[in-house]
Amino acid sequence: MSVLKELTKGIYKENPVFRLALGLCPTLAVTSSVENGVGMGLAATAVLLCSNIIISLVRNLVPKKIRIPIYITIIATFVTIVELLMNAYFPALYKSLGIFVPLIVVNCIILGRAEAFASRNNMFMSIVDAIGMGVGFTLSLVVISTFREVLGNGTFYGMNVLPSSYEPAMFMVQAPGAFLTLGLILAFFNWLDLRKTGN
Amino acid sequence: MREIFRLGLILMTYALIAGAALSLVGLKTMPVIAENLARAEEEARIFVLPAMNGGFESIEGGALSYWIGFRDEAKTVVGGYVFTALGMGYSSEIRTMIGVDENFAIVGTNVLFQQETPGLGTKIIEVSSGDSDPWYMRQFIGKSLPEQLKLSSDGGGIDGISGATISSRAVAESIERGLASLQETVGGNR
Amino acid sequence: MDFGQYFTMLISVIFINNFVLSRFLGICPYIGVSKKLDSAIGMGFAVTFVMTVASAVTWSVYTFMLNPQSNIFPKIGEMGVDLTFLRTIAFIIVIASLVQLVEIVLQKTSPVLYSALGIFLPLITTNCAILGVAVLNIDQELTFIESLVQGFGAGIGFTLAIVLMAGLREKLEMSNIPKPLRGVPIAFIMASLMSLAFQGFSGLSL
Repeated sequence: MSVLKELTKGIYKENPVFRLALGLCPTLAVTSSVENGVGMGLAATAVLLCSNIIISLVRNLVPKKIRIPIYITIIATFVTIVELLMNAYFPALYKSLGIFVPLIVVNCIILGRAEAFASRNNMFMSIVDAIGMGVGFTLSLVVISTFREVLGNGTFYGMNVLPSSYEPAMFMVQAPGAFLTLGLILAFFNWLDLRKTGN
Repeated sequence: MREIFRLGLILMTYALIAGAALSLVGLKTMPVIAENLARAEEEARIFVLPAMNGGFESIEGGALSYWIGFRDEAKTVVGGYVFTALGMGYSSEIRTMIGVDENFAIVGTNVLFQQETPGLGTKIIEVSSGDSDPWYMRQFIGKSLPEQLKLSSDGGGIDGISGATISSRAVAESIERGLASLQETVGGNR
Repeated sequence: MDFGQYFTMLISVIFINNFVLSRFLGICPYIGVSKKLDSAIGMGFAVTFVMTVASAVTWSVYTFMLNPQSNIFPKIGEMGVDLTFLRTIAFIIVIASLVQLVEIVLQKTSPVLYSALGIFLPLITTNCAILGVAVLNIDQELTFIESLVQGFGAGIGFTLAIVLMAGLREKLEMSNIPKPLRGVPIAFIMASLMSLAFQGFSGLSL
């Protein structure tokens, strides 16, 4: 696969959230504001990048039988590093994201890419794959959180974007709104697919 | 048997390398984290009891833990006290930090933590446009007698929030208890 | 032992702060295993068991090996070495091992359930609800018994949510749903309504 295709597949064709249905837990939880969505997206991308690099480097040194525990150890190490760095240098973001920072370790996207790609490809392609998937994940978080924050709070990244006469739909920034937004966006993507196949 | 031993050894090697890497990062970041925490706590105290040139001293143990603020750098003139109040709200505990002057009159308030119903209980931190602090908390400023800190529906001087009685009462009662406890503790130590 | 307090905690974690419907933990299996009622029930019980045992073990590991104040290793306690930053990595290793154990036991005792759960059994390791409850127990500074109660309650709450969803989805098989909504989207919309309904529980005065 060409490098460009590898890079862009994570953004649309194989978008981890909208197409592969991976990483759903943080997607619903941190998208109540665009700032949180971006923060989580970047943190997860950082972990994905580092773990893909290391795993592709050691891919021939990992016995098949214990590969999952080893991948998890490597991923958990980078998640803890991100946790520590975020707590030290971005404490406000660390507090907003709460338990979802350590939960990056069980984000199916990261373990999924380790197993499906980084363990079978060289470092360069693994980096490309990580960037593509990470950007796709971050974009999906931004899309969902834009809907939730604008409709549910009248703001975008903290800045007021709707006239003050708009009464925010509190429902959107709470749990039911998250489920609904994701459900409708997934339906939209299905509809796009059906149109393509001439249905 | 040898296979399990070999696999275990490999896994342990990975774990050891991971541990080493983490310790390195930890050594660098943990002091920063501790410093951030201390600075945030100090800023919270300065927010509710400003102009304490002598800083704060923590008094722990007993019925109430609180801080004494000193007006002068020599720490001889007591400027006031800071304590945290804890109340059970509608859907979460509500933590507030209260600053009082040397005569126990409330000079500053800050809601540290709450997870009340958005739009109802969260009115305790609602700031009207044009203001700089929550209108509900401003009612506490100036009062120095615990009896004044009850809701007006309970005989005190604080107007509750309609639709959020439990949240507003939790805050008022916890501050009332805290102030009474502070007066008793400090009064006893004088 | 204050049973009233533990009962309150159970009600709170099952209904008011349901792990799936208000904390967004455990969504992947919630969507993935809720197509059939039987596998949903099986998954629910497996998750409840792992959550309860994991709560106990991770709490112990944190309290006695990582936390400098209550450490059983005297050297660590004396020097005040704070190993709490290792909790993420320690917890996930504990959970992965526990799930492996459950897999082995289940294979021997109930091969039917084992094959019904299929790939989803090892995937319990990546169920964010398990690591989530372990981390929450520590963040909320719960005691050992309280952690057990929260772990057990979280599992029951998860089981409740997934069984409700499975029941609904089985019924939905016979309905005429617009094509774009079929499968996962309609499941999310139903989850939205269930979450809305469960929000009503936050008015429970205990």
